Amino acid sequence: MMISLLSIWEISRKEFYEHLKTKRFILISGLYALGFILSIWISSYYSTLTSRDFLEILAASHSVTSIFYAILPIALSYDLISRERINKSIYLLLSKPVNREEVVLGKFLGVFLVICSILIPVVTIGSAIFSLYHGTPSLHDLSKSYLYLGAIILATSCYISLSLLFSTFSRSSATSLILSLIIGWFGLSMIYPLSVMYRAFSGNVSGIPWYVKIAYAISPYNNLNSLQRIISKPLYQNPPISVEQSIFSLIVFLVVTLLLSLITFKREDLS
Amino acid sequence: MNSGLKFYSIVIPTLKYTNHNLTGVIEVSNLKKSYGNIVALDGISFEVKKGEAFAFLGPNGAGKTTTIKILMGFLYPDSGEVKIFGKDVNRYEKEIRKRIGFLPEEIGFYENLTVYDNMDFYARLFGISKLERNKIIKETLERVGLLDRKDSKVKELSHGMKQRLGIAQSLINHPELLIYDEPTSGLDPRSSYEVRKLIKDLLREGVTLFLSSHLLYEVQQICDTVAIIDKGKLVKKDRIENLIREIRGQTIRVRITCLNLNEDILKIAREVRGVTRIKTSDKAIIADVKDEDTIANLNSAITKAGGRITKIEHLTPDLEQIFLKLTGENK
Repeated sequence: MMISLLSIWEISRKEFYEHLKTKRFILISGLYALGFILSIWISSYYSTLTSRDFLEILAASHSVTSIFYAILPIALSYDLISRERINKSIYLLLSKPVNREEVVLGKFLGVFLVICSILIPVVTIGSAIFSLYHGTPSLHDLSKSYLYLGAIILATSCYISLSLLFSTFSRSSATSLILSLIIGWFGLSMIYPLSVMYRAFSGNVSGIPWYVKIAYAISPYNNLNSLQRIISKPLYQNPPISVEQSIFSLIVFLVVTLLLSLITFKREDLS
Repeated sequence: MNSGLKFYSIVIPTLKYTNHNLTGVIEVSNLKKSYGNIVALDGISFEVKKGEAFAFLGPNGAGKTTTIKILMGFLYPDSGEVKIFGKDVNRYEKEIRKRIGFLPEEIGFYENLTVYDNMDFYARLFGISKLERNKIIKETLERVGLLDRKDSKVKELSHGMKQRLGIAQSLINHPELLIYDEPTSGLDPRSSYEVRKLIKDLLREGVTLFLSSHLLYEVQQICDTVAIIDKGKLVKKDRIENLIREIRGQTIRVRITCLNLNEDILKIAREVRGVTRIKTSDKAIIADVKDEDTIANLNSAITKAGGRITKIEHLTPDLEQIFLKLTGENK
């Protein structure tokens, strides 16, 4: 199997520019940008905080808009392959010197770049707004804020990859969207509370059993909450796994789903 | 003037663009493919030689599109071997696709991108440099008459324009092999004519053509070799004139319309060597002759005898009759 980086780049490039013009991207990313910037601006304007509270404000703003870290990648990826099949454009694409692996990786990279192109500027603008009111945050805090942003992008990549996987074998884009939302987002997040309930009913209350940790780690959304410890204490719950374990879980999730996408699409008959 | 050749016409069964050597561009061997219990392809084998204009015919559901999709690597066969340019299609997909131009039956473009952007994307996938890309895209769009629509979004184009854009994208890499599935599907007569003309021009340039079409008239105009597939099996594969000869037997039947037909002319016509049978119908002679030379001799003899010939027609079966006979649809 020969994979050409140039082919991946060309596919991602097309995907990137095509997505930037879609209504769904403009709508969802617009709402996200508005929510995040308003949140930072309101917190900065109506508070008596100092530059030392930058990470607290940032954590709160990320929490307000955290739903977009699942919705945005799913909305941009659920039909990446299925749309090509329905529109029959897959036949022209695969009649060119590209293989299926390059198509999957190119599409993944395209959406990844689209998401980076909205998250990085919005967080930077948010930080600048905070600076206007409370002075420039320290280099240490800024570094942490971008480290957390990197973790968010890693979590969104997991959703891109999962939606991509569903879109490789779904016969329709609607099916892929439903699978991405119900299984990918809601379903995976529900495993952890169920495991906690099981633990409570089984009477095992000493320590955190392994299955509870795995149940938590399997959801990118849970890991996103866990990773908030990079900049502040978590807002909603005390995560049963460490920051390092969360990052490891996200990387494993990303690699496994991406590999499954590659294998599924490679083996599939495009009838 | 008594030449008798005021309106001389002979219906020629096929147009030929013969530039063959013995290299097999496409080699299909014992290809099998099933969808559950439905057998789509049942061990078909054929070969397309370099420079050949090869038509792939069959009724709906015969397995034509399945074969094309296997050739392009979209479907995996259950068994059998498919080679293009001597290489396995699934192992050397990228090398093979660099040399192929493909036009599917249902063409899907990126509708929100412009004509130029679609072409540019496909050209980039071939690794064509920016300078060359711009030149090739303009040349190709001009060739299919779409240069003035290069900035239009694809969704704004008519069906015929999209079909022409489909042909344009298939030519962007200067392919050696064209695989076309119903290239004139849904086109108006003028556009169909232009597409056929374009294909003929490409054939003259030495391109090999694998054409699937329902339009037998189109096939007869463009192709020199035909494979007929029915129920997943290859029923026949031969050059069109051989198929016609096989169907009609060893003789050629011609109708010679002669304005002043009389017994003397008939007698002279009967004496021409190679004429096996003669009868009359209205003002015409219907003759069974051995070969094309006999037709020329017959023409000459009748003219010398004072006959005023206005028309000479082959009464041989056309591709449609062959197709119906071989696929059993005339029963």
